[in-house]
Amino acid sequence: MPERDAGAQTPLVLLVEDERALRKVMELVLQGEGYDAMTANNGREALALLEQARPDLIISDYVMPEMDGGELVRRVRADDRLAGIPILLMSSGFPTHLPERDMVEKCLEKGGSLDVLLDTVASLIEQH
Amino acid sequence: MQPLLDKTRTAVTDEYNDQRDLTRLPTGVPGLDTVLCGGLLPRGVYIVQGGPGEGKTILANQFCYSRAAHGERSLYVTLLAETHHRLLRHLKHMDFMVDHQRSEAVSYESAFDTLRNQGLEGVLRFLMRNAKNRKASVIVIDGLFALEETTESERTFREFINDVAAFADMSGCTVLLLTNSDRNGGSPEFTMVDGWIELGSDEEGSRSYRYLKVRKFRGSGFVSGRHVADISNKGFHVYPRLEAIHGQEPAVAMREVRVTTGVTGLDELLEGGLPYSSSTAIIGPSGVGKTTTGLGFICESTPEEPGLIFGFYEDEGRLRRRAESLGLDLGALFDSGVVELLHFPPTESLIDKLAEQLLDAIDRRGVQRLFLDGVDGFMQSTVSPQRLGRFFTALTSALRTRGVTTLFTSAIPEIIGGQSAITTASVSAVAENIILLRYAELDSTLHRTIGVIKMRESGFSPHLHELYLGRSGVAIGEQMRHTEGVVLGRARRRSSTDGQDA
Repeated sequence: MPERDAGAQTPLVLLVEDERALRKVMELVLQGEGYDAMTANNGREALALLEQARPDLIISDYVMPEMDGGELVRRVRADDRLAGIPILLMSSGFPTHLPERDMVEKCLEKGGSLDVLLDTVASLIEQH
Repeated sequence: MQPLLDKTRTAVTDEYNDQRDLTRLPTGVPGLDTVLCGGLLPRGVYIVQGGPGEGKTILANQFCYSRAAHGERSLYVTLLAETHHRLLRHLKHMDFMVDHQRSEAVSYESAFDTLRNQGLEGVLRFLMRNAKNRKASVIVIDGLFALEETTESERTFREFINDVAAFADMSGCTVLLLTNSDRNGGSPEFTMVDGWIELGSDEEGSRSYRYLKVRKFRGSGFVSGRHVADISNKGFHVYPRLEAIHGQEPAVAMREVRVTTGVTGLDELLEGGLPYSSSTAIIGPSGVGKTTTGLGFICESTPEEPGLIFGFYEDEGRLRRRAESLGLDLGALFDSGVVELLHFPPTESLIDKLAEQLLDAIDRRGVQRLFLDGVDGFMQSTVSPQRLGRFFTALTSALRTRGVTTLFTSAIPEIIGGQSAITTASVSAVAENIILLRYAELDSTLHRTIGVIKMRESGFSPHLHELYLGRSGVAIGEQMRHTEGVVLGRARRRSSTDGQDA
């Protein structure tokens, strides 16, 4: 996996979201906050992108076609090369029992406060 | 890896305060929240559609400044070439702006150049950046049609609307999209947004009136159909159709209480007076004594049972003089505030506006006695005569619920004869009690007569009596024992040997 330029100062966020409008708006919001963003439609595309660049944070939707957020989390956590990348899992409705709950740093309901979301992003990247 | 946050909570998510509850956002537009069952839903995207001059800008600004009163900020973005200076020049005299002339509660920004140079994505970035910088919870985009005209394809435009909706949901902003486009409801923007409010105007004869209609409100009920509206210095005002919001009230338990009519002798004909909270129609031709009878009723008002005269034809001065000539001290009741007069010439009034003003006045003072002089004024104020029956049913229901005992007058056109006394007015159908005043011509002399035609849930005298008006007030005279045909307007002596009444 190629590392990013060591001199790169701008944190990179991998955004995994199957809903086009949300993905686009979130990407613009992240860019507006000074982050670089790369986007994927689902877990499978995300894994492909992770072969190309190591992000400072993964934000992933939970329910997605082809490969959902749970499977993505398990694959990432099983890959030593990706160790240490914080994951923020988002959904508009998590199941009562979420098997991947302890494998991620944070779970957030979609549609909450944007400030909370951005604070969480900043906090996770800072602590990374 | 150590978890960064405590995960000992029992629920899955770290944020419990889901802010997507269905708290309503009152709009600050009188009447609109009633139509919307409480207000807009936060995080929604709403299209406000209407031609030029229909009030879109006023309504949107009214919403923004109403939110400012709740400590919220708004971003008002125009995509039109019109300068903010021109926009604000027309708005600055509006009452809702007076307290905010120098505030930063509403930020006005132009995205005209952004749209021209950077397209829709540029506008989207513009909205996000400015909404964040301004800490806005409301975004107004004025000139949606400019976007339609600029985009190269329907798909691009559709995606833009979708992006705005996604941003609204993510950021917590509520978005109003103002457009004068006449695109129909099948256009994608209408299917994608959370709500669609149409502003328009129509004509009935030579008369023009404004209306508001909610075409769609996702996640909420709303009062459907057209509601008349007007625009004044106070802003946009919606008058929900009375029958759509009243008429479903639970029936008030009947009380055995009787309310005196103030007309000497009439209470006896009614077996004790008017039933509490009932509606009574006084029907008769011009000049026969309808208003005078009503004045007798209203002059029985007290500080504990305040009265209201709601009339269309006689102003306060005329009523004072008329009452004085009957020995009724209406002036003192006016002066002390026991009785209030609301006088509306029936020329260009709106029927639902009248009803709202009537009910407001009743609620404001706890009115118990209502004299509605000239119910025909309501009929002249409607642009939809076919709804009059439903309107009056709703109005009487609202009055009954408030415990108001109502006396209203309705004119019949024929002084003598005719069929109107029998078939008159849809209002009679909703009146629980009907009192008929008629002239009887006997020996080339006109006599006033009074008779009770209908009393719901009560007995009453079936006899006709003569009615006297004079300096000592209004009074019931002798029973008309020897005259017949009065109700039909064709009075005649029964026989020459049968005695005579007058």
